[in-house]
Amino acid sequence: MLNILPGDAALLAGDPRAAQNPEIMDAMRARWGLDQPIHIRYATYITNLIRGDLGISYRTGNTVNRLIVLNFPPTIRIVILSFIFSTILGISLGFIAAVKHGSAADIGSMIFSIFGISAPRFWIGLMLMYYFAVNLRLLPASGLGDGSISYLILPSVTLGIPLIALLARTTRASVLDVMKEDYVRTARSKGLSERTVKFKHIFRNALISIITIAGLQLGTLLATTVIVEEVFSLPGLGRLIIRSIHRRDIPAVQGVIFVFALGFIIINLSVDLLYAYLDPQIKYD
Amino acid sequence: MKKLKIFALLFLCLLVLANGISVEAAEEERYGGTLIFPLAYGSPGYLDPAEVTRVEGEIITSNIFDRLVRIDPETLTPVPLIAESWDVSDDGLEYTFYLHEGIKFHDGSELTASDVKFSFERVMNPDESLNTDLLHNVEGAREFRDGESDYISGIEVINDYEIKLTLESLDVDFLLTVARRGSEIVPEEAVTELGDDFSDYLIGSGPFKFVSWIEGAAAELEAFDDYFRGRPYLDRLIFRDMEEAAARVPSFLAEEIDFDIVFPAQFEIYAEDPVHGDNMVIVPELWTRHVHFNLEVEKLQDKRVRQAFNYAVDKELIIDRLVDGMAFPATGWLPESSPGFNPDLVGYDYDPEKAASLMEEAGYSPDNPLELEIFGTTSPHFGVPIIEAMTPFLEEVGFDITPVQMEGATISDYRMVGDFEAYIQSHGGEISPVEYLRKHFWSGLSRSEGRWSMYENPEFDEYIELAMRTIDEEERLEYVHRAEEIIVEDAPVFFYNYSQAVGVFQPWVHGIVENPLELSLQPFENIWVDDSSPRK
Repeated sequence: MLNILPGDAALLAGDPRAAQNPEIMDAMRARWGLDQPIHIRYATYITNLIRGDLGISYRTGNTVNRLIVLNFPPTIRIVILSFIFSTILGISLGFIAAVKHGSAADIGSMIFSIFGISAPRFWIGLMLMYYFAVNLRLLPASGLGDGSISYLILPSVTLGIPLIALLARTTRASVLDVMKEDYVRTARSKGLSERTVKFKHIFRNALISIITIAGLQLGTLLATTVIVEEVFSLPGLGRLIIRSIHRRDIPAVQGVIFVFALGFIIINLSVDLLYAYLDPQIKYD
Repeated sequence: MKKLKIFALLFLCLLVLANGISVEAAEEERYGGTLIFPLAYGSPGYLDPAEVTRVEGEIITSNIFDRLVRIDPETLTPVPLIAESWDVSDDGLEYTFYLHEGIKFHDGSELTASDVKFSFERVMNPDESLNTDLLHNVEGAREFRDGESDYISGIEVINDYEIKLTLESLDVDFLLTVARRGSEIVPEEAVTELGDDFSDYLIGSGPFKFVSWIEGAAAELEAFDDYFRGRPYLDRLIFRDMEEAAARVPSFLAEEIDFDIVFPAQFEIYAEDPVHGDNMVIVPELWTRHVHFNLEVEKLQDKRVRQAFNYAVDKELIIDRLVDGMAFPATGWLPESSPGFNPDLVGYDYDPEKAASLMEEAGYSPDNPLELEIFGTTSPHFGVPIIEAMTPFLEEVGFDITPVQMEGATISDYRMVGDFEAYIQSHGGEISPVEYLRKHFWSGLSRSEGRWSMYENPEFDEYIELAMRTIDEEERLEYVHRAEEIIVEDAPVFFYNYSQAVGVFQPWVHGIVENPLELSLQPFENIWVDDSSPRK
């Protein structure tokens, strides 16, 4: 895609508002191999990729491997952190809402979830920053600081709020569905304790569809780190890819997409394997 | 009663005195502390000075490396740095620089004339540099760049502290060249030894030593104790990559950063704050925002049409409403902070009647409008939103405007090949008024070199060439004024405004200067923080 878009890295290396010398741009293009036709560039790229070499970024002169190694940890940390707390919170909220169907807790959590799904992350992030960092001075507003976890709390919450909301809604719907099933009535009529019915029969069966949604959403989380990293000035992959796109830094864009794609595949595979564990009806031989 | 009065008077005197003393105490420079400065334009990309092509990188490298001369932000003239003085031959072609003796690089080695020669050859070597047009006017530099020679004949080391540069043709602004990006002096020995790894070490002779840079995060520098102009006040200087303006505000308010570059959308938050409102710097920048016309498009070749465009728009109203007053209406091409600014220049005032009559003469009216496509980015200050604001003014006098929104990169591409009617942009950052006019309007340049309008006027060319050849400054300025008057009369662009840069600093930061070149290029070696800083 970036190869056919107008503008190239050489054109954008200089100050975009100033004049550029065509000779220098040609020299830059030669240096980065941009003067080669696209199929040759692709062949070179694939050969290098097999060797584990993602190339050199035009924008920074660093190897893409190094950029990714540096920018990977913040992204993966906030994704994991926000995934953990939002699944716990989201599923519990949804479960409570379903079993206390129609109560104040139900309505409250559903209002929250509508808000969480519709509010833009950018805005949530800024509001959290103003409240917790500027007014209360409880948490740092931006950056990674000394690397302590306090710097990751606000970004993770910002990233996770829409997921909490979505999971709460899915869990509630799914639990309500399962509650109407025959085997739940059977379980109750067997005289099982309410606790066993709720957790062993209802919750476990509802979990299948929840896990599917959560797994898919983990991918979305990875993709939306772009916004969160920009708002909180975190040196992550999302930020790296946005800047690389702006400056037509093709090797860096390809590198990050490669990592993201790998991430998606791993997540999907793990979700599929989890099914087998949760639902005895699904078996992989 | 009288006694009481005397007492009161005495008390008052004491109070004033005490106050005076305490003010003085606070004003005393203090060593130590850390300053955190945001990189408001994003990541620098390259940090090796030969490869730094954008101001994002220069903001960092200008503190690690020094150049032969530097630009005084107040006068915008070259003043000594590594070169403590220089001689220029009568024909203006030979520059002899006398280096300050005993300058140390961060690795302890001494800076001598051979390092200067090495650095200049390095910047002209396309394998190492992205700034290979820097010294194009030095004798033999182009042959060296093109691989036809393995040295630059115009660079001669006389002794350890004297170096002579010979130019091919007269360049009255040559001193600015050795103060530009790319002209930093690097240590020959260390660069040769480290090779490509030099960009991980960045050894210079500037006031701060390089510690680390993490892409997307921050660059960390620390004070260089042996700096030849004296150790800087700050212990540490950190540049944080914070491109998102809306997100910098809470970080500034939470005292996590010591400075912020303020964009119009954030201006009021700071200006209305009782503390921060007093700690703001407002500088007219060296940038001109304008609409560039493509004079190869037939309908735009009529001067009256371009003049009508200039008369038709109420710039002051647009600046007031859309740019929060953070700009000055433009009279011509050279901005107020430029040494070539002409305060007597008569530009185009808002005069819709004159505009309408000019359009009528040219054969257009609101019923038979001139269709014009204007490219612009999403920039709220010099992009499509501004074109939309101008449209009603223009349609009233006989234009039919179609704004086309696209990315900056795409505009650059169309501009290069001349496939456009008009576009709105901001150009500048050039100190030399001669160069700033020449680069965009002198007919000796091709379109891709910056003459995007393909404007051509022999009279203008003559004045610019005269200015390029004139060593006497006053006379040169006179030619610049004449040349600019012609540009204004011919109106190859719509002169919109000169931008203003605004910064805000925390109350404990001292020594921030108003640099019209770029507010982020601060003399950090002179900046200090008092002990009310959370990072003292």
